Amino acid sequence: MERKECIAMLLAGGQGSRLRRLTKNLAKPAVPFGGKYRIIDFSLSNCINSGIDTVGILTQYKPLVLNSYIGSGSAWDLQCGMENGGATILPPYVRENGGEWYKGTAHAIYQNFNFIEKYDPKYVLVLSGDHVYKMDYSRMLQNHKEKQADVSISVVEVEWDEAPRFGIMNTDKNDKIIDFEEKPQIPKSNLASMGVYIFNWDILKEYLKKDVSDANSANDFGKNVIPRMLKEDLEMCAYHFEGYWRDVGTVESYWEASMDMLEDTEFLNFFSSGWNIYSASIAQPPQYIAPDVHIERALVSDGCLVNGDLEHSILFPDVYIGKGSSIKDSIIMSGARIGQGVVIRKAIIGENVVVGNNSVIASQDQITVVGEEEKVLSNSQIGTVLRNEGIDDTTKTVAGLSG
Amino acid sequence: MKEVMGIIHHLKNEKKYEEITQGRCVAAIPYGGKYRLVDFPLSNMVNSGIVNIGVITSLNLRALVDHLGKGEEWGLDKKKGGLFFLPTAISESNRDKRRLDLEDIYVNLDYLHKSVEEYVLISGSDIVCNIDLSKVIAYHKEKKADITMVCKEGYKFSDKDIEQGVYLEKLTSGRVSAISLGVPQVGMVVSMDIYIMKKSLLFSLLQDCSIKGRWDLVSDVLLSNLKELKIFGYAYEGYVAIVNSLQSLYRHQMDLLKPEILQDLLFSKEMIHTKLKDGPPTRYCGGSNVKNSLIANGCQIEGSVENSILFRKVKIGRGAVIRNSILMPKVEIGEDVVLDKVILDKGVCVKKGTKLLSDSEEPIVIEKNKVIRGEVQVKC
Repeated sequence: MERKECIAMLLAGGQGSRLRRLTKNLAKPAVPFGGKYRIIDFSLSNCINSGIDTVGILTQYKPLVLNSYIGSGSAWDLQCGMENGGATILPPYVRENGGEWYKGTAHAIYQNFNFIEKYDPKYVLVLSGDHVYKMDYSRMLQNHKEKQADVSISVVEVEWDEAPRFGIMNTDKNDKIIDFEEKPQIPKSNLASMGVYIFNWDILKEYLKKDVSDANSANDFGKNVIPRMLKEDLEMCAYHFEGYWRDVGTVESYWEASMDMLEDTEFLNFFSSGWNIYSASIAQPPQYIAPDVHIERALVSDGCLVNGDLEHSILFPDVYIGKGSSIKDSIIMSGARIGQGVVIRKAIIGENVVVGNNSVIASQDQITVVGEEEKVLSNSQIGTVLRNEGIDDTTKTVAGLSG
Repeated sequence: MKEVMGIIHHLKNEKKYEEITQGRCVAAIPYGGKYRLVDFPLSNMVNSGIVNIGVITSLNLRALVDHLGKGEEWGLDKKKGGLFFLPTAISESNRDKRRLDLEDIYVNLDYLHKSVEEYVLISGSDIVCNIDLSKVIAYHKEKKADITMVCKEGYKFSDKDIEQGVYLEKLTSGRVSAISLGVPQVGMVVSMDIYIMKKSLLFSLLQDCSIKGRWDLVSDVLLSNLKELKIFGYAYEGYVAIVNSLQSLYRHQMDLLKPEILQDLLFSKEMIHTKLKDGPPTRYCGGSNVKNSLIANGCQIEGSVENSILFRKVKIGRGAVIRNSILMPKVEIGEDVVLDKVILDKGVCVKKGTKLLSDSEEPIVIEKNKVIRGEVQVKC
């Protein structure tokens, strides 16, 4: 096995419970995003575009969708080959003395010690698969080497009022990290950790061993390993990322980042070549837009049949919109069937949802989420989060809508 | 369908649509927003369970080989069977007239010998349909036919294309009693250029052809053996388009804008497969106005598009009006351009303010990668 300078370990086991119904059957990195992608596409594409061709993908929570989506890795040019480590799925596993779930992010990496050792890398890039951004990791690695750091953490400026949601770094003039606070109530800076770390493997090894032998540790990078490294005065460097980066961990931030894609500004430069975001495409016919519809400020994927009006919305592949329907400020995922005369406002409609004729899905202020595979009966009015068993409870007949 | 192998034969009528075939063979002509013509026969074969398929290729093969690759998208990247490229026979001057050139198959006899299947299904590459070929094979067996040809009742060629048709007279039993080349008689049906026979029969026909030096399946073999061979015609009920001229290439793609045809051909249970490409979803910008159009991924639309087909990565500028047109991949349309009944080949760039309008039955065709600026062109 050829020695690799840097390999990536992608933490993809998160449940993403704040995404509510969107992660009912899949891990957060597998959540569909932006009309044809899944969130993990961003990290995976960044890896291959940055020249990192060996990626361990650590899965735990409901991995079925993610596993089959990754497949051979060939969609990202990450198939295993002679010189190419490719993408390897790393689930928790059983050893002679029993097995364990991944207890925390650091524990997950520790459990795959052998995988990393196989490539004997100098550096390990640790990523979380739940952010939307385009980033050249090779520049960060360059900076890491120049600064002769032990650890580099990528940071991005966030709005001050958003800062309490993130891990916040305080740095000195030379970008040396002097303090780190996980979700501080009163943040001292607005530099948020992006969940992108570069470690010297020798040093990480040592700290992972220390961490697992500490019975009080939650075995988490943010809570335990990074604070210990700071305390022991390692050379820790903040790498400033400039560009679009969004944590899409809540329904609200997911919806907002999706809507960002509709803006004419080149947030993510999806239409520019050079830094493609790859995804595993499925075969679909082209999309068809019917006569007499109004469609504006929308992203629509292959295989959609659009017979109704669409404004400021995103359609994933293979979505059917019936005649006389009107969809605004919404996201509709693959395989959804929207009947005739349906009104949808500021909603996220999950995969394979069926919405009966003349239903209304809208709320005054908040985002309405209809979870995957759910069925909305004709003439329903949905204004809150649905539960499979509870559709009828939240359903009211709206009289006169069909007329 | 492990007992049937497929062959997609090479059509030699490229000159009929020269503007489009430059650098590509007929099989590689782009069609329907994201396909190439070969996708239809190939997908039909694969969907019917055929897993060993040879595609006869001309020297103009780059686009076709690039498109089909190892046949992954059709599930043909296999250890057993799979996709094979078969080179066409060395060209002779009179060969253009052959409708189905058996010499192309004869020079690839090794491939047929090596294949284990009992039957061979041969299809042209300009037949656009979504047909269940397993029904044709069942029919062939049931009739104990020597050769079964697929045919379509009531198919209408445009006037210029009538002479290219092969017309069959069928008895009530389904047996073909007469064949007419280029001249339809009352009550005749149109051959869809799809044939099935036992491989052993094909071998003996090829033997005959090599002795006589006459190689056309239709005029040299079928016509003269109507009595000796039991030839049956399987009537196909679904939608079919025979794309054998520029006019039919335009007209039949426009058919796709009729919902029932779109459903039958592209949104049916059996999928027409094509090469998968990466690309973002299509973006409909503020102020765009799109009606009755078939559009592939990766387009950016700021203007108006009506009754048109847009392939991948087409850009339509603000104020542009596109009507009744077919825009192939990576076409760029500048601001305030007006197009009506135009086919723009791959990579064509139409600069700001240009107007291209056709009033004739034939569309205006602009060749690959051309840049058109500041022109008003009207074709009558």
